[in-house]
Amino acid sequence: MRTSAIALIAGLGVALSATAALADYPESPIEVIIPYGAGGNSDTSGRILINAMRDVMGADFVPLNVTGAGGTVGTAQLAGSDPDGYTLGYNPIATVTVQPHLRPVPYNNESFAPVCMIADNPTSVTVAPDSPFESIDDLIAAAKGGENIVAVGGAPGSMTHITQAMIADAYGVGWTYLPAGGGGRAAASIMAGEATFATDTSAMERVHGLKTLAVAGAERVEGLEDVPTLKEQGVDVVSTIWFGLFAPAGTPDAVLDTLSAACEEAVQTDSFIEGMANANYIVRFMGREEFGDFFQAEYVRNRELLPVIGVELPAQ
Amino acid sequence: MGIDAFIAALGLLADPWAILIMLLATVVGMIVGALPGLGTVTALAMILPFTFVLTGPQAIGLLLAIYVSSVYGGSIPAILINVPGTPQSAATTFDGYPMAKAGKAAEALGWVTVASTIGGIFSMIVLVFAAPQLAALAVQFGSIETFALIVFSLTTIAWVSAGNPIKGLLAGVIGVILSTVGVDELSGADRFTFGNFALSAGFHVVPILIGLFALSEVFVTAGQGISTTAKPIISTGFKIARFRDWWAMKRTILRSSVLGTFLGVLPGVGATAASLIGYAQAKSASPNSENFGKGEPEGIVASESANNAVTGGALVPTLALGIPGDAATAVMLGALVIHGITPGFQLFNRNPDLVSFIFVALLVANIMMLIVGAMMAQVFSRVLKLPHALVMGGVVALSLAGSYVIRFSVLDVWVAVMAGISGLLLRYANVPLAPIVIGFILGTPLETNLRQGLIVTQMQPLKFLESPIAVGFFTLTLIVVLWPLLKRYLPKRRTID
Amino acid sequence: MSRVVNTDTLLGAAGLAASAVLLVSSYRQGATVFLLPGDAPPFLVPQLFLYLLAAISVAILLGGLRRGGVRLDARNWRAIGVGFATLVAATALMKPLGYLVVAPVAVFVTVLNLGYRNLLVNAAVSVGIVALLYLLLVSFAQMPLPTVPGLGI
Repeated sequence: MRTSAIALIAGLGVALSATAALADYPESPIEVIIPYGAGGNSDTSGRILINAMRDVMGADFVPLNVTGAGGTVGTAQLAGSDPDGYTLGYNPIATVTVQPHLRPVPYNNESFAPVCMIADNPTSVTVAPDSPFESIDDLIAAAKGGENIVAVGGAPGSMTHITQAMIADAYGVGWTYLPAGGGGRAAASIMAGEATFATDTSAMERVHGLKTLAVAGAERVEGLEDVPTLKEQGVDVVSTIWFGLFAPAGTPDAVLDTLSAACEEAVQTDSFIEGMANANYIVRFMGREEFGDFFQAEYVRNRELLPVIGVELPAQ
Repeated sequence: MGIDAFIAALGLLADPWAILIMLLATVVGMIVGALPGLGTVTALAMILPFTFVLTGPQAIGLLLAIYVSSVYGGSIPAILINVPGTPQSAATTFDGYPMAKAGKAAEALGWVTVASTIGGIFSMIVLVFAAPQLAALAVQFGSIETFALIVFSLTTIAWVSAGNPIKGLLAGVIGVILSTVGVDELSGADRFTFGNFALSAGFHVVPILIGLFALSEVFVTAGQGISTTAKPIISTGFKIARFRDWWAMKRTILRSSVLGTFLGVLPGVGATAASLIGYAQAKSASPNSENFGKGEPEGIVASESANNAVTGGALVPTLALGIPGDAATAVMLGALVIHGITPGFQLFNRNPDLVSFIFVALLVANIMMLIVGAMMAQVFSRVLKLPHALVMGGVVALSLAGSYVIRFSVLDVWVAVMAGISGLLLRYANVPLAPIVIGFILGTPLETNLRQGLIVTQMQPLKFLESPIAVGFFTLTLIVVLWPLLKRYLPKRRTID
Repeated sequence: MSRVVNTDTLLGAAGLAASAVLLVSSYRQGATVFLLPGDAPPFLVPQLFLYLLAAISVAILLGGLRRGGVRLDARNWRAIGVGFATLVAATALMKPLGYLVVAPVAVFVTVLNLGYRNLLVNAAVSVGIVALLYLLLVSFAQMPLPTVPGLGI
């Protein structure tokens, strides 16, 4: 009897302190590591999220830009942080699901506890506004005809690189790839006549005035309703760039639930919706459980994609 | 830009909150710029959360004020303690610190404050009248053209080598090699990281600057022996030179402002390189060029008007194309986007009022910088009244903190310390330090653009010569390199005639 | 030995040694992940510059040898050594002990090393400037510095 009483009291004590700790969370500012420089793509959307979560939770969120090596340094720092709920990270698809397969980094799919996904942007094929190509078929025909086609995008291994390789593979053509950079740099390359097309987010048309030939998403994109998807044209290439909030593995479930719930609330606030619309991001929310499964699936899926860019996978 | 748009812009500015915010921002920007290790990008990133609660025009005014004043703020420690507060002021240390040591800190501060303002306003005027045209020019610069431009920029190493070209070349080469450390983006290869993951990000310029310039000074002071660390004669305060002296410098100011503006417009060079190139160009064209590096005001005027001229120049591609001109304008671009302002090809057509407002705000920001700078310089220069040893102690505290907060990495602090001791040894060996910085900054874009150019031309470098812009820069490079040789032969021919 | 040593020979030798080490390292590198068509191999450019470094180092070394051995200028190497050791220790201890503990000590020792005798003023300034920097960077700019274990600041 006594042992069970002690066990009961001990159990209550643990439960109480856990709830007490939960009730107190967060007691101090929460650092959110953004693995890219301030003002970049990931940074802008990350700060919009942080702002919204600050309003929802009434807690202080501090963005930290930890740059380097294509986002891997910041991601590694997140993986190595204490799992106490006071260090989080805002990561796009590539850093957590692609980079670990490309080079030795001190983290993998078991280093993180996904909290929520907040955005998912499909990629699109864009060309110069005065380009003679009107559809993706024109572009493929030109490539087959031997014209010098140059695709531009980010560093090898980035989603822009993988996407154009997937398209080339699906159509059975080849072209040159120029890793000049994404977003504005890619647009500048196209306008200088150096590159023919880019495979970046669907916002490229709205922001830089390029012409969209096709969208690599599951369905047509809002604002680009008369642009067909690659799927519609019989080419099964779906490539999107998603962004999510992560915590180091081992963070207490109670903390993760609090954050996930706050995240769900945050993405529905006016300021968030407006901010993301201005930044040309398509909002897509996934809570903790769903995102956890999705993340693991993406980790495997992106590994399978790598041979298309010429990476030889070691036998696992 | 019509007159009514201008008046509408002035109207937006009549909001007293906007003026107050800009004034505060100027002070904050100056302080953040003056803290080595923080810099313009950090200042803007810090202030970003505050912009969420402001209206569009207020946010723009805030950002521009911080941008402009932080670039200027970096010159203050460059002069007073040989540490550039921002990388863009690296060239200001060459003549600023010698001036401070000679007791002319007040004059130096006067020179840089007014020079920065002139550079900033010059680039603003260029922005107002020629932004779309300049943007069209910037777009012409692909990888090959940028490569040629950087090759040309590397020749400036010769001018900051203090008369020792071989050692200057050595320093430049060291700088380039340092820039290759880390993961090579184009191939995924780890270069010279020796298995250390933190090194895969490569070195950052700020810890190298802090080490080479600030910490090496601490070590050199230690090496000089105790008896010589006497208090130098200092003039504190703020002194603006007479108009006559300014007029004598007009060509330097104009040339540096033009250089800064155009290098800001073009991609791939950046404000740090622009100020170094501005300095080098001024030295090459000046009749006083032997005095450069010993406390020649022309040097700091060239450096500071160039780096502030970059502010207006970098806004050209940012506003007209939606492509950030440098890291600082990238942050501003992000902030503008969050506020629903999409810079780019449509901005000038759809929102001419807003564009005019940006111009006016930029002008106001520069003027505020001048006024606030004059007042705060008085305060800052009092630092020199402390015994030199204490100032060096402060430099140590600053260096430890400043190099850490770049990327929140202790590796960067190690880099600063190692750069410090290396700087000492290099100085003892009479190797100029400036070319190391130039080589480091230009090394990455040099290699990246070269390899991108090779990819585009399918490994046929001769095709580089198909670009007229590239040929132009290559020719200029040849001229600059061969000019000293030509000079030796030409006078002989004249006497024969 | 003293007939050969001057700053130039030392510099040249150091440069040569560094370039040799790095060149060997660059040739030993494992396979790269990508080689885009048209791209130069990733070590080509660094190797070119390393060879250039070696060549310049040899030139400086030979120039130095021609000059002949010179008595190196008298420097207070002891003070330099102390200063360097202080900074090395400070950097190594910054993460474990926190900035607020390590920096004032580092500043104090540096100032003392430079010959400033007034211990009280030294201590006051050391603590003062570190506190000021802490306030500016951590409180105002929200850029965290390494914290002191147990205190959380």
